[in-house]
Amino acid sequence: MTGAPAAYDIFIDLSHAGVAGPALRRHLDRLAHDAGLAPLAGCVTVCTASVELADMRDCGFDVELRSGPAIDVLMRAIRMAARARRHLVILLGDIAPGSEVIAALIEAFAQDPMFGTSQPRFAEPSTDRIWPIPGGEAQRPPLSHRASLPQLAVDTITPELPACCVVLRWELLIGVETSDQHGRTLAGGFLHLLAEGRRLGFRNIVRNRVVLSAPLHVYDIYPTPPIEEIEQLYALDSYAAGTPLLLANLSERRAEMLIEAAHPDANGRRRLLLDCRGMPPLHNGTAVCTLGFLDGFRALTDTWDIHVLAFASTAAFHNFKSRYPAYTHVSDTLAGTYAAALLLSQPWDIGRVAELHRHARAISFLMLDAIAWDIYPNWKGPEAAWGFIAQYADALFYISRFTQDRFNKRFPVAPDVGEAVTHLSLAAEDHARSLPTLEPIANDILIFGNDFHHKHVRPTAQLLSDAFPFHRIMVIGTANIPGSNVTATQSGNIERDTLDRLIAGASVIVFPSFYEGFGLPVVEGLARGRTVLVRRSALWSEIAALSRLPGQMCEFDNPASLVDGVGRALHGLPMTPLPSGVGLAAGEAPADWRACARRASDLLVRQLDGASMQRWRVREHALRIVDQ
Amino acid sequence: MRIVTLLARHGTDKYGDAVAAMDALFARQMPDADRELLIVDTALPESHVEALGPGRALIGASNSHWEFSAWDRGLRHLGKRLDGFDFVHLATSAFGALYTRYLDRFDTGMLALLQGRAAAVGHLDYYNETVTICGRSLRSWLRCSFVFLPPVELKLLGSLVGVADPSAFFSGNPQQPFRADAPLSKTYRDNIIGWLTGSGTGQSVQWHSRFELTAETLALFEAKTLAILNEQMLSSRLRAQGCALVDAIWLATRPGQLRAGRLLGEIPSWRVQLTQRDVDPAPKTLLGADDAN
Repeated sequence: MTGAPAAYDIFIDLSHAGVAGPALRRHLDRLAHDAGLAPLAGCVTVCTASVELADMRDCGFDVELRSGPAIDVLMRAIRMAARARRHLVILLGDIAPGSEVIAALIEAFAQDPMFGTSQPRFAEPSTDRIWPIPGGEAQRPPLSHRASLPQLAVDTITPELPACCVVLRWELLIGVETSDQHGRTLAGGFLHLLAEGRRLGFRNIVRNRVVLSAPLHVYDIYPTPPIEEIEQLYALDSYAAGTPLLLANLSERRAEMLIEAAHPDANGRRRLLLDCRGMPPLHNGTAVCTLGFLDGFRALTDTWDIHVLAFASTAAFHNFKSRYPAYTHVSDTLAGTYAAALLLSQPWDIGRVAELHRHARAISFLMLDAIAWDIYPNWKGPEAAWGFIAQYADALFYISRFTQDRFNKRFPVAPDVGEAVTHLSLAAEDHARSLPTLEPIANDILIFGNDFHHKHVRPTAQLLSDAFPFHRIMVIGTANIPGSNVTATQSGNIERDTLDRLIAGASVIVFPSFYEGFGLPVVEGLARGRTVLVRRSALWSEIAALSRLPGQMCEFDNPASLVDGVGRALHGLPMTPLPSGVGLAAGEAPADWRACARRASDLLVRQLDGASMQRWRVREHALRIVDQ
Repeated sequence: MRIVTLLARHGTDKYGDAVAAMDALFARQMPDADRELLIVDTALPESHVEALGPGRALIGASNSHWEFSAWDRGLRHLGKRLDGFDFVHLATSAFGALYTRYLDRFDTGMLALLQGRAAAVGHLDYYNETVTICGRSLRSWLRCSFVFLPPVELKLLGSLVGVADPSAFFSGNPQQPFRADAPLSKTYRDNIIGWLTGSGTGQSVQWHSRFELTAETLALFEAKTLAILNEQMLSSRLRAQGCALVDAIWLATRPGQLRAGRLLGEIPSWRVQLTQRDVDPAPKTLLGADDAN
């Protein structure tokens, strides 16, 4: 024995554990000798169903056996501990925390005078997995891997949280009113007591590196009072009413679920969410891009357990379920947790970013271009979202170096945000594989674009209509363009086969846009061996350098050079195409969709393996500020 | 099963055959283990890093806390590679000294029972009486010269040095080496003095290197006491984080008693383990009157 004064009293409730007589004696022996509490405990108060058969002589403790309402026995123990200025260890059920567990809980009190209650994490004894902190869900989250614990904060400050092992600081015991709890259940009185402690200013600490193996049902580990006793508390303490939501939204609780989600499954795969909610239920460039990545990720199902999230209308239009049977399909709203999430398009508002953050350990975004922010400078959604992800995302992907440069000039990316240019597929077979079996639709000049001003479709069509009045001009992307030799149609209204036949039948394709992120129609035209005229841009040199497509890409930079180029193309005269394949090593194949997906996957794996939870916490903090 | 041995030593004047003996043990008892060996020598400067062949290296470390600072250095050296092992094997070059019968019982089948569990396995020592150290009681602990435990337990610990500052414990007076207010029970003080300078702790075992406590040997006494404190506090800290201490001889009996495919389940208390050893069991009286019947 130390001869030092006892540090704490102990209250043990065994009234519902069926522990009495010799079993009670054995339990106290465990506490005294296995848990080693005998030399350190002061008064041990045991609430039991019956005190008649118990012989507690020489059990190692100064034991007081009590029967009767457990809450009354607890309040008595509180008064005794308060009088002796000793902390009180509350043990509900047949559990035996070691003296080192109790010591580690009490050590928290030395860190802050207003830490009033301290509790460990609880483990399932046959597996050592950890019970999550309850958060009010109808279905409790699964047990956590022990490997998650080192990634959590050492301590989590929580609202009042009754549990089967809690140490109450003696200063709190002095302050609480013990006469008010009579008539309540033990769980209800305990909750009221902890709430009163909080009203006095004392907070609860959950120590994430102190673990008690507890052979109890989870509902006994974290006991819940009857609803009427909870409502009584809410009636007198409006802040207590927010407790379930506060617990559910605890940052460290969210962190734990996401750390858990980042663990590989039995097959070594992590769960990846591919968010396709930026994809419309029609054919356009975004749809091709999204489908391309979904195709590419099919080769990575050994690495990822892939879940695809899309609006139901989009999933139905593009036949997601039949096209991707190996993926799990989720419609409209996001649920569950993921190791990583990749939004296969730009986020248009901070809400989408926050939503992904809440459900995934690592979040990433595929930036198609920065055009929206440039042409609509008053559009606040993208500005906030893009500025945020430039600082707080785990990874940003770009479909071209040109897009990466534009984005970084506008939203400087923090050094610890992973960046990769994935490109879109530059492989001829990915774009030419769906060559129509029907005959090409012959046309002389095919102009691609849409109604956006920067596409410059209307002026280009008018210019070429005037310059080549006897050639048929087909315009894809906008309607109602004057000129007897011009046929115009809105984009999205053309079946994919028809579009492919038009490309295959074009003598020359013109892509007059001032500003692009990649320019899929250009690559599709080149893949089918067409001559494609593009407005001079670093983007086209990049595309040409990294591809080996059968067509030729030639630049223009003003109306005269455009007319000259079209004329040469129509008449088979010599042109000066951009150098093709010069950015590829000898024998290196241009990226196909699988390579694009692998570039994204590789960076996500590196980010998951290399990053600490600190990055997630910083983002969590920033988003909580946004939420205010 | 991937195992990395962190073998702490202080030069090779004593226990010069430790590496060979360790290699022989693994070759004999765990030939199927995928093993790496990291020798951490506290007689070498911390900057020393020397490859000794595939999966084998020698590094230097601070001797500030003997084997505990050596293992900390070894863990820093491994860095993120630590996660790739199923077990970390902490050992000292003195692993073959004192009681060694438990060493013969290690094999990968026995370790496999603890894979994914919160448990450290080695030789469980115990005192005849409970002692208190720094507000914790202690009667049993794992001998640190040969212990296997999962990497996550080491990550939860942070550092293997649990007691770094000796000032709270020692008086500087060889006649009464402990401070009057040191957080150590009287029984513990008696045990330490008995073990290091006298006839042991009442269990008929004596330390091989005991010495007379004088002004000249006081520093050695304090350093050795600090190492014992760190060894015993390591067990206490592991228990606090929910890591069970498992006796190797007890565990070695389990595979034969479990039906094929059955898991180890809940790990019993140290008293139950020691009394259920098939070799050198502790007396049943350890269990107390009710459980002994």
